[in-house]
Amino acid sequence: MTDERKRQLFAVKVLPHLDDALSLARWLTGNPSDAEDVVQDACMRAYGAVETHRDGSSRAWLLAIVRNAAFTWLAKNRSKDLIMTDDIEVFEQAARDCTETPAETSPEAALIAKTDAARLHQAIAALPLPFREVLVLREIEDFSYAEIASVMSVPTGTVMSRLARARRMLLEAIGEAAPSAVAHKEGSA
Amino acid sequence: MKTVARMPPLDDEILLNAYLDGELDDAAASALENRLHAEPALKLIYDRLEALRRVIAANIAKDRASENLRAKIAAIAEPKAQTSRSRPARLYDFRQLAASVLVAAVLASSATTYISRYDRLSDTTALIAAHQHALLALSPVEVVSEDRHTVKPWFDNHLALSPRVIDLSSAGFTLVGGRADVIAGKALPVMVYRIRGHIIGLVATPKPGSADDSRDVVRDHRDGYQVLTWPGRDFVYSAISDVAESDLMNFVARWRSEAKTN
Repeated sequence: MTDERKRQLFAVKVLPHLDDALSLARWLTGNPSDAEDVVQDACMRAYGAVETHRDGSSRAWLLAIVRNAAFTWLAKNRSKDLIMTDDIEVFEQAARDCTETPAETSPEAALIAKTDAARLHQAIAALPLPFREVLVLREIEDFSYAEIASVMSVPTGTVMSRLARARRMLLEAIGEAAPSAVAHKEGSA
Repeated sequence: MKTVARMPPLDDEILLNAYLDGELDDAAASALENRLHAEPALKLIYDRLEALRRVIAANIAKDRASENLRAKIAAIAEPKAQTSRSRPARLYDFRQLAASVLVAAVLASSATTYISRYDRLSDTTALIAAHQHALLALSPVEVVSEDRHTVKPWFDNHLALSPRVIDLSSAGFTLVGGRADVIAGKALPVMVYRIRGHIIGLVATPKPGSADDSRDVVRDHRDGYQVLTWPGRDFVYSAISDVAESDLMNFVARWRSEAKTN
C-alpha cells in the first residue's frame, strides 16, 4: 500500500467532513481553537488508520475518531468536567427519579419558537457532556440513531434515552430562561 | 391548589423522540399517531419537541473549517517520507556515523555492523517523534487491553502483522494496549507498556530479507528519550521511552528472555 493510495483515501474519507469534525469538536471542547487542535489530532489518527476503515460511512468513522480525540483532550485539560461512565449511570438514575417534573417548567411551543440563537447556544453548551454530545450528533450532525450508537460505542437504547433526556433538559433550560413568559402563563391559567 | 400536569412516562417520551427523528417503523408510527390524536397531553409534549427541533435548525449552524485549518489537515497526507529522503545525503551519513561512533564506544564491534543495516528502518528521530506524538496528542493506544491475546489479533486485523506481544506484568511493566504508527511511510504495530507513570513504546519493524544472527542491542538517545533496538526472529524491535535508562534496559532484557522461553 503506497503513500499515494493513502493520500487518495484521506482525500475521499477525511477531507470532505472537516466542517462536521470541527462542529463536533467545538461543541465537545467548548471553543473554536481547542476544537481545531482536536480536529488536527483526530485527522492524524485518521490518516494512520485510513486503510483499515472499510465498512460503513466514512463520516461516522471520522467523527468517532474526533469524539475520542476530544475526550482525550478533555481528560487532559478539563478532567473535572468530564463525566466518567460510572457517573453517567448514577446521573441517569437521578434523571429517571425526577420524571415528576411539572409540565409547566417546559415552555409552550410558541415560546420555544421565539428562543434566540444566543440563548439556545448557551443552553446547549450548558448540557452535561453525555447529553450534549448525543444532541449535537442528532440535531447538528444529523446522524441516525444507529450511526450515533456507532460513533459513541453505546447501545441504541442508550442513545434514545439520553436524547430524550437531553431534549427535556434543553426545554427546561429555555423555560427557566424565560421566567416572565412562564409567570404570564400561570397568571392566565 | 391547581393540578400540575405531569410529564409523560419516560417510555412515552422516548417514543415521541423516536417518532420525531423518523426512527419508528410504520406500524409503531401509525400507532403513535393514533395516540397523538386521542391524547392531548401527549400531543402537547410532541409539539414542544418539534418546536425545539425547528428552532435549533433555524439558529444553530455548522462550524466552517477555515482555509488555514483545511490546509493544515491536507498537509497531513502530503508525503513526509520524501522530505526526509530529499534531505542532503551528507546529513544522513553524519547521523549514521555519529550513531556508529556512539555504539562502538558502548557495545561490541559486532553492533556497529548491525546498526548500519538497521538504522534506516528504525530511525531514532522518527521513532521518538511518533512516540512523543502519541503521548502528547492523544491516548497512547488505539486498542486498550492488558491482555496480549487481545492486542495481538488487533495488530493482525489492522496491519496484517503479528509481532510478539509479551506479558511482562510480573516484572512491573503493565501492557496498556497497542496502536499503529506510521513511521517513515510504513504502518507499524506499537505495543505500549507502562511502568511507574512512564510509557514505553515498543515498535516492531518487519525484518528485511535474510535473518540476522546479531543479538546485540543498539542504544540511541535524543531529546531525553532512549531508543533501544534489537533483532527478534521476524521483526526488529525498538523500545522508546523517557523512563530511566536502567529501567528500559531491564525492560528489554526481560522482554528478550521471555521471547526466548516462549
